Amino acid sequence: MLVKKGKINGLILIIILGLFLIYPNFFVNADTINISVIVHICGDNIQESGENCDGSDLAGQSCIGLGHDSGTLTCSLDCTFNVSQCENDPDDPGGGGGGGGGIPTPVETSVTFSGRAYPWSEVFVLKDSQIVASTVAGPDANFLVTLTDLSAGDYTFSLYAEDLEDRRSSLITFSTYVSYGNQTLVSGFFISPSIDIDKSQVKRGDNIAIFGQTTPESEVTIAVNSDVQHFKTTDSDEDGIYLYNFDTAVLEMGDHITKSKTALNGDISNYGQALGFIVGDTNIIKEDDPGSGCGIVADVNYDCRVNLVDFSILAYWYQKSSPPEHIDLNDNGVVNLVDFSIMAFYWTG
Amino acid sequence: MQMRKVIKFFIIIGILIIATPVLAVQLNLESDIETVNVGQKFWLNLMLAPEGETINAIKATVNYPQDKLTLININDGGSIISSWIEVPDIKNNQTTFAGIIPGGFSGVLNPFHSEIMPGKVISLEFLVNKGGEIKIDLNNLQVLLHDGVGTSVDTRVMAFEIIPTEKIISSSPKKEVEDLEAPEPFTFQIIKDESIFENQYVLIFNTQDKDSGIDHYEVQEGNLDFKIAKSPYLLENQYLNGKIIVKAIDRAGNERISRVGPPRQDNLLERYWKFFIVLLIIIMLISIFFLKRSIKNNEN
Repeated sequence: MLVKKGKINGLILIIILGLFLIYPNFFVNADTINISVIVHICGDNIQESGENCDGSDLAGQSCIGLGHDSGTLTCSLDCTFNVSQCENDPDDPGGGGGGGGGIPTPVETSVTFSGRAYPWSEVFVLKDSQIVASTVAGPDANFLVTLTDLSAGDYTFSLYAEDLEDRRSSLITFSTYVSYGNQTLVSGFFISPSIDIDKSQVKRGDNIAIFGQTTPESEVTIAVNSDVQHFKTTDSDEDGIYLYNFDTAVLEMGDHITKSKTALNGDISNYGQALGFIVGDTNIIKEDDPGSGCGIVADVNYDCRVNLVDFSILAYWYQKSSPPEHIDLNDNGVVNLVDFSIMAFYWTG
Repeated sequence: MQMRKVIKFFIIIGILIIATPVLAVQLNLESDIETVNVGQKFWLNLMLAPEGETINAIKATVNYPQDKLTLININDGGSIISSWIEVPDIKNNQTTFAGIIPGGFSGVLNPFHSEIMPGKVISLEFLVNKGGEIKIDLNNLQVLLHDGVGTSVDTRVMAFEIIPTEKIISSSPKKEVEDLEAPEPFTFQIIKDESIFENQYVLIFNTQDKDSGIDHYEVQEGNLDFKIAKSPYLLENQYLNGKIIVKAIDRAGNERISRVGPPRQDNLLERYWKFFIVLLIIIMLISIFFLKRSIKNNEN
């Protein structure tokens, strides 16, 4: 019996070792960010979401279908219907319109982004890691922003939102090819919720308030990492505000993190930023440390942003000995590629 | 006994199914040439295929037989790397590069392809010096995950191998696409930070060129000559009372200029305070001298 047990244990060990050898990162808790966006091209003769039409593809529409009496419906270069050749019966009181035409204007190479953020939140667009545009989302949290004056080529775009309390979402990043003279539409962004907590340390058994902003009237899932992961759900109100009072009686003493994601009409955002807190013997109200900017990792000049300036400061110390403590992000005594990787993770632009 | 063997068989098969790597991060050295002759040039693209992972930092050295090949050109135009820590450049007939992709890279979404495409890291142009088997590979490779701690990820490198032919190939060499576009518009920042250059004013700048890539930057302060510069650049004129121009020049020679007028108005007292103090002392000494002489004359 003992021999059998030993054999089984040996087999389990071999399985674990095998997995570890083949997947060295098998036991690393690495959060990967998956994005689900849709890229369309205006000019490829295929009508897609966000376009009325595209070239010869009129999506089955006609002048009559659009309320005119006759004529030929065409598609404009910006993928909207051109009704200039549609005609209306002069006797028809509901007619009117028509006219227009003229010389078509050249189409710019542009990229349009659309999706959901938070009501009245500011949405920032980064092109190749630098902020190039921003817009304000509507009361329904939907946003639309267009970048023009682009060259053709591969671009890396990132988006994030800042809520009403200036809390930032995590970055959504993707790379796409922009073709010359076409309008690229990238839709389906669902920006993860902003998050905050009321205590940096909570007495075990007391509640910790976890709150933030997301899309209005959606379901928010709050995850609290412990030895066992706890998931709680709550609904956001008409302004997108959510709040959950988490009872820490179920948590062990020590460090924990919390993060949240949103679901609405079958769409689910990624988890947003993770915030850490301690379960201890006393309650400590969370306050920002004035000496460390906004407490963002990799914000080495304490200006509440992680951008080219921080990158340049880190680059100055690259492979030099004895860097200042706050520059050496992984505390290994030297600034190397790992420090830059940490900075790239916390980038805000 | 038979049952035990069957169970073992299924366990082993199970392990093999689970443990077979689905897809690993790949770095592929690719070229559209199939044959090359001695004396000819060819381009090679280094492409990153994350295969489901998100990557945010990469470092490597390109390894090739230096007696058979000369690295003559590098192009980082349209690279997925937006911030270079070590700019890819030819030094001692080889190149090492390191850079980051803020926010991470999971592949290129291309509206013309349903699948996610690999992204270009750099392109390299080689000149073939002599025949024999050629293998171009990567050394000192580091590819890091976008996970907040910089976890290293196993990467499969697909090296490029070719055997140049001695005979002259009749096909005409591929005509290179001309880069007529200037680098992308950019601005620069003037900052000072206790961590660098002893808290003196420095310039911070960066831009991209989607065609041939950025070759170098030049900075002009006031009426001084343009100097080749690298960000962060320590300003010579710490009074900031002269105009500053930063020029980004791509590998085809196109330029993009960013400029600001004097960031500060000239404050003569601040600039020449030592001179003013010396002047004041001289005036005081002369005054005392004349005062004494005047008193002396009055006494006489």
